[in-house]
Amino acid sequence: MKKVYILFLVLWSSTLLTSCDLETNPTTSVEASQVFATTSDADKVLIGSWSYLMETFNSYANPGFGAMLRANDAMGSDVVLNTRYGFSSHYAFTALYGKGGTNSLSWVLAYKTINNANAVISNIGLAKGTESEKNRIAGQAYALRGFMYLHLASSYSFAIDKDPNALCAPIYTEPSTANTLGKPAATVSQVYNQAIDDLEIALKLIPENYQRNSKYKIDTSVTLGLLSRASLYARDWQRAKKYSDQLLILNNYLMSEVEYKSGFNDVSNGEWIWGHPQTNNQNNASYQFHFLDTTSEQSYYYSFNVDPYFRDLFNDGDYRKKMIYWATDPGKDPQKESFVWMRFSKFKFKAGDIADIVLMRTSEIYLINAEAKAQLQDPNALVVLNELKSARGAQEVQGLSGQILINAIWEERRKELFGEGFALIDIIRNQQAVVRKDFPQYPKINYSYTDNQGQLQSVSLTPQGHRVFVFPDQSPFKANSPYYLYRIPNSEELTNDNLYN
Amino acid sequence: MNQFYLLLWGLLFFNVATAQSILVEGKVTDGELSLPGVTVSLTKNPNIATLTDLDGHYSIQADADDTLIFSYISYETLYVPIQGKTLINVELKVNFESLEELIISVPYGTAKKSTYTGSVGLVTAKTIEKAQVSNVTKALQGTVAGLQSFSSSGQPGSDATIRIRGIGSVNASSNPLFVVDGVPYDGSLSSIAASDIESITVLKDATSATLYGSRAANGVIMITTKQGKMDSPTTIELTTKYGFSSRARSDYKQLNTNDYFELYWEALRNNRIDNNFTPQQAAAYASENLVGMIGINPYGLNNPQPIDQNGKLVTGLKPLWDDNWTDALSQNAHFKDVNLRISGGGPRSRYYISAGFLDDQGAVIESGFKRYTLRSNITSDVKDWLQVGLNVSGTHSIQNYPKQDDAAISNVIGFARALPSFYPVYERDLTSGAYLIDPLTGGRIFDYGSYRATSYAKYNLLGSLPKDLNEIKRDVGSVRTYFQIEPIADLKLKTSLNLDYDSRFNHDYINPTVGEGALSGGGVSKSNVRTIGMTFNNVLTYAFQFDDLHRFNAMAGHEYYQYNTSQFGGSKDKMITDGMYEPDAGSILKDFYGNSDEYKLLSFFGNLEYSYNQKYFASASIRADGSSRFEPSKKWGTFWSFGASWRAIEEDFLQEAKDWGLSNLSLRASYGAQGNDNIGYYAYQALYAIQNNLGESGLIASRLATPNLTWETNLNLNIGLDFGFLNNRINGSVEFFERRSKDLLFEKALVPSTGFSSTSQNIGAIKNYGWELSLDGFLISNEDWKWHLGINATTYKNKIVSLPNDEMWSGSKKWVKGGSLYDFYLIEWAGVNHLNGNAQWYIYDDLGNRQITEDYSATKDKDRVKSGSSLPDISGGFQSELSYKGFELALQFAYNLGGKIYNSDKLSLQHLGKAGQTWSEDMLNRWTPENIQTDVPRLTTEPKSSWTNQSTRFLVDRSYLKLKTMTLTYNLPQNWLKSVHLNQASIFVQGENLFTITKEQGLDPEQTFDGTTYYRYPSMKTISLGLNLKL
Repeated sequence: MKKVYILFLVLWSSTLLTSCDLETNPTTSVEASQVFATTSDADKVLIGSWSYLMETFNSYANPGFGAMLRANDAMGSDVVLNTRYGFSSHYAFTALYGKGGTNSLSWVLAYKTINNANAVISNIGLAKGTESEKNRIAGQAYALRGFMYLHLASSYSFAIDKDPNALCAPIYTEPSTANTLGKPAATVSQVYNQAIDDLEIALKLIPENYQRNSKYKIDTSVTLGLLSRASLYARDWQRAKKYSDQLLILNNYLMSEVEYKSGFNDVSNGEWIWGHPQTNNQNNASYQFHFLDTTSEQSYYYSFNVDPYFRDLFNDGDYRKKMIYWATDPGKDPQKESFVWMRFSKFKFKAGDIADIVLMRTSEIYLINAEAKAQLQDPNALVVLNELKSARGAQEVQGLSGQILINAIWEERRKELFGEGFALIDIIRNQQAVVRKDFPQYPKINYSYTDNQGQLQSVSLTPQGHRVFVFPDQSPFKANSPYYLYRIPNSEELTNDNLYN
Repeated sequence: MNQFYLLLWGLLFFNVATAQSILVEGKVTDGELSLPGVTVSLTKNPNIATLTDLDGHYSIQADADDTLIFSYISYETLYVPIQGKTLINVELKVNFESLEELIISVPYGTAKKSTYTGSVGLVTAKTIEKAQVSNVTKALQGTVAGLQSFSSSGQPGSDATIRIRGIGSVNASSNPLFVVDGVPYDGSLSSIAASDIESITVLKDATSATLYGSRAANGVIMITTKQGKMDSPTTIELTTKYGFSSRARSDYKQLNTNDYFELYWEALRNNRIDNNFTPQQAAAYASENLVGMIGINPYGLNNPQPIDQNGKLVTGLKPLWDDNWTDALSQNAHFKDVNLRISGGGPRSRYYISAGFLDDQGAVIESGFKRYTLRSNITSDVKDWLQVGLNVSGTHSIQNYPKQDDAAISNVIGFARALPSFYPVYERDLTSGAYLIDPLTGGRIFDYGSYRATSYAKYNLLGSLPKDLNEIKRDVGSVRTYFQIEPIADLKLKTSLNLDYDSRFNHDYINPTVGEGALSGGGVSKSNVRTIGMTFNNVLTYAFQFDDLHRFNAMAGHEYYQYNTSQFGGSKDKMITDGMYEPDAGSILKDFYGNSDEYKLLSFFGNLEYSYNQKYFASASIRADGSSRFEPSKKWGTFWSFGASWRAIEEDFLQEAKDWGLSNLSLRASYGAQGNDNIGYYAYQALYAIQNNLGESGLIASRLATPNLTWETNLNLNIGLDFGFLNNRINGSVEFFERRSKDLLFEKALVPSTGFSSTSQNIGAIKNYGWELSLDGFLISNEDWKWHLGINATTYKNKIVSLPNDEMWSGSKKWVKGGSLYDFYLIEWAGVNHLNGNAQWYIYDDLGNRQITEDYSATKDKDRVKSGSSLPDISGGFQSELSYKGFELALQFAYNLGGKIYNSDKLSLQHLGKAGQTWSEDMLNRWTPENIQTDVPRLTTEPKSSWTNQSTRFLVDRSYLKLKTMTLTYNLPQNWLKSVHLNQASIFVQGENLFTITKEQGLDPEQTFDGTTYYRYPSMKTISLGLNLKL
């Protein structure tokens, strides 16, 4: 009898244990079908795309999209990289040309962001929610996509007026499926047009009264700023003037000296139109400050030093000039040092090794406005330039016009936007060459400092200026060099049969 | 302790005595050692029997004219007529043939190895216990043909990667299934004590594995733990080992300080010339800036320009210090292993209980592994028709695991390699070189080197690691329980419920005072990963036969498997003070995370075995699996196998051959299919991954829908021949196998600009085919000397049968139809340009003409050429056991012949001029106008193209011969043991990884399957002394 009981027990427990279904669900992902149910769900895709764009890194040298901004300065005329980790190969023009990490990250970030923006644009119509929310979200998706196409247009081709039909990068406007075929590379004009079209749609869709809850979100000001920027790069002076005028009506605040010297690390700054905030638990992008910050001890690499000649571009009354000085590496005993570097104390970490990333300031809009007007021979150009100069304590310039005025505006861009990611793009779009001049190591610099005991000390150190004066093939720097451009990665060339059709 | 074992001793003395006519006594030996547990029975009176005790003594009541039968497993049975004698001492001879009559573990049961239709390899306790490793996977290398074990890390407690008959899968898992005591095992393999293992059976083909269905696509490794024996006296066994460990191979040789400074001067000068300065200006610049670039002057502050403008060290200068960081970061590691095992059994039950402690310190500071193990295996026949069994094991382990396997600065292996000798370990007076003394402690001061030119500035792991914590605590519990009822004769129903619980706590702490945390305030992270695997099955078996000729075994069953993994963790920054390791001591919350996954598998299976006259054997199996990983309509897969074997030696026509020595000849063949679903838990939905931003929820497209994705299938063919000569004194087997995988779970590359890099598809097919040979023999076997030699070899090829695209890339490998997954396709190194010293590579123009370029970025994937395979041509091992009287010397070798490794480990030491980064010795051979015949380019701080870009230049041979273990044992003579009341005692010296013969200096050739090196913890050499006592 017992045998029967046991047999029964086995059968009963078997059915009990195995009657459950074979369904399981992930806990770190959401099924695609649930993602665009409501407008607030769709909004999450925008939020996630932004986070992906700004915080994804493939090495510590490439902490998010900001790495592209940092590369732009490292490859210009004014930054002197030391030999430490990070951007020294950009400085020597081997990083992008050699299709290194920044080059591959750029492609992945841009197109993954574009695909997510496309998903929002094509799905938002069916989402549940108010019309104004739908417009706002769709508008932000268009603006984000436009921002990415602007990056591609300005970094993967020479200036639009050099060869408007030069191949640049593919354009996608629909979300991808497993059956999506690779698109052919569009021309630089087409990519600029796509960027401007997207941004103009965004301008219409995003309600003017939209109040963003964080400064990374795209509102009308950001859209106008991006449109000003894109139009300037595309050499559409009228539009650049129009949109920058509109934006300056909304916001023409220029920060004070105290704010300027507070470290360029906080989105609360009234001059910042657009920035990416950082917190203690979201701080991948802050890693950029280990390169940018050359005067704080907690900085690892303090690599973005400046060309000693760069300081000479500033007037003595310019408070920015006081922020540029010779210094040894922070936190080291100068008695044991051999070198002294010219350092710009513009970028400084906040407490906790974090720092917000600046993406757009009103001073850039002043400069766009001035440049567009100068190109249009509008006499107001000089006024706008001088407004910015006087805000920085610099001497106003008088009587400039034509190319001389434009050159003065370009120089002001170098000074005002140093380290913010514009140097190389300006060189490309203006068809200029990188200029680097040797700085003599004699006489040595008498470096004065206060030691631990509070005593004033002085030590004679070797000054460090530019180190790389030619391209990797030892040819002299020139305009429109392929060493300036991002390159389509091998993986795209290998899989996309239509790329060059 | 003495009292303890005397007490146990007392318990052991029990003899079976029955009243009969005369009492016969005696001792059974194998010619030298006494044999306990030998069955002594009588021909005329089969109901009476006894066992020899621990001394080999027996006494039995018997009729004076009866005959004694002495039988013992693996020994020839001996018949001795009593003929009135009362003292009969006998000596049993080893029966080589019966060694082959091994019982092996197979899915849901056991089988005789000699008649089994499948392909199996067996590793016995004897081999396993000779390895001094904290992870049993590492003891398998070189032991079984067809099994490859790659210990890519020497960190104590780490797993080796095991592959059986190559890799059958591209993107799904290629790990074999581990089975412990008959049930798939989900715990950590490092939690199993080697001394608890009775045997390891490796199932290589379909016959064996199909019954585990989808889980066995990559072969099965069945670990059987020790059991007591029914009706046997209690055995107590104690094993202890104590030894020392160090690096098995020294690291790559580095440049000394003088050479480094001269070479770096040269790099600086050359770069200056490249930037259009005159040679004089360039030389002056190099002399002027050299020390500043490197950050410290090992020649003292009084010599600010140690290298003159001719690039030579100023005469008379000597470095004031010359520190070896590898030595500084090594420790005197100890190895301790203690095990106590008690086993025995009564008429209805048997038991095995063990406890163990292992302390395996790593060769690198702050690394090691400590483990406490407990096991209890109990089986009882509670009724004639009911058997119950319970195997329980529990393990607690603590692994000290400093960062060691990525590019991080705090990687303790990378750190030692990356710091050159001119960066001092302790702070020095920069003028005299004397150590600076801490006025508080009176000791030396760790130099954290904020002046170092590399990313290694501000770190000194020797100073900071002892204050940090990198700990992995693991608790593993495993329960195997079953009951088996036999309602009618030969019909058995076995129900078993099995649980594997594994909980891993990672605790990492960076101190806030010194090193990397000094400025940031330190930090702590703590996390837990908990996994539970549950297997529940019911298996019905029935054995029947006709005419004694036809025998059948039928089996049917079902199984439900559920695997759950759940993790959470968090981290905090800014610690309150040193030595406060817990998150409560941190002030800034950085992160809190957690997630879980679940996997379910429901299966039904059956098996039929048939044998005719013990000559012909056949078997067939089928299994259906439903997996939660796939889309509902694609969940089920059905897998099957057939096998047959023929014991030709039993045929009449071979009886003649028997006379001239043939003792075994049998042929086996099998064919079958297994599945693989191991490709992520949710392999069908389109997904958006959670990617939050600044306190708001965020999502990002992460996976494309794959509604058609389903099982990958492995089709396995195996043909084997077993043979034996001279009573199987020499025996072996040859096997041919072909593993063909179809519907491969492939990550098909997508166009990156679509926003997705790949999608999963069932596409393509590959096969692995090859030969395995194993030979085993007693070359010498006489009273004093015994020499046993075993050798195994495997050779196989991997071939891509079909692919979705014409060609596909996977890192340094290109996959083309007809090629192999393991073919390196690399840019061909074209040597150094004799004229200018630049690195050169070959590229091909549109017409296919080979050209030379100095611009690496001009190379395209089409320029990469087939440059060898990462698979060795032949791999395997050999064992030698030589014994003389009480001495035994056992050696276990592993070898690899052929195959390539891409040595990326060394690349960081071969830069052309990065300030302060270590240089390997071969840089002395760099191109100079005087040395133009070289394969090391001209030095310069800003090379046009990095010469260390991937090319055939850095591909090296992976052939090696390694002495894995060497054991010298001395069994103490019985007459000595008598006086201390011990039954058996031996002392031994064991060595692990004693030597490696290979071409490449500094490289450990035991690397991953794909032949690419990546930051590995060096393997360890361990030498220890041990003692084994049996009470």
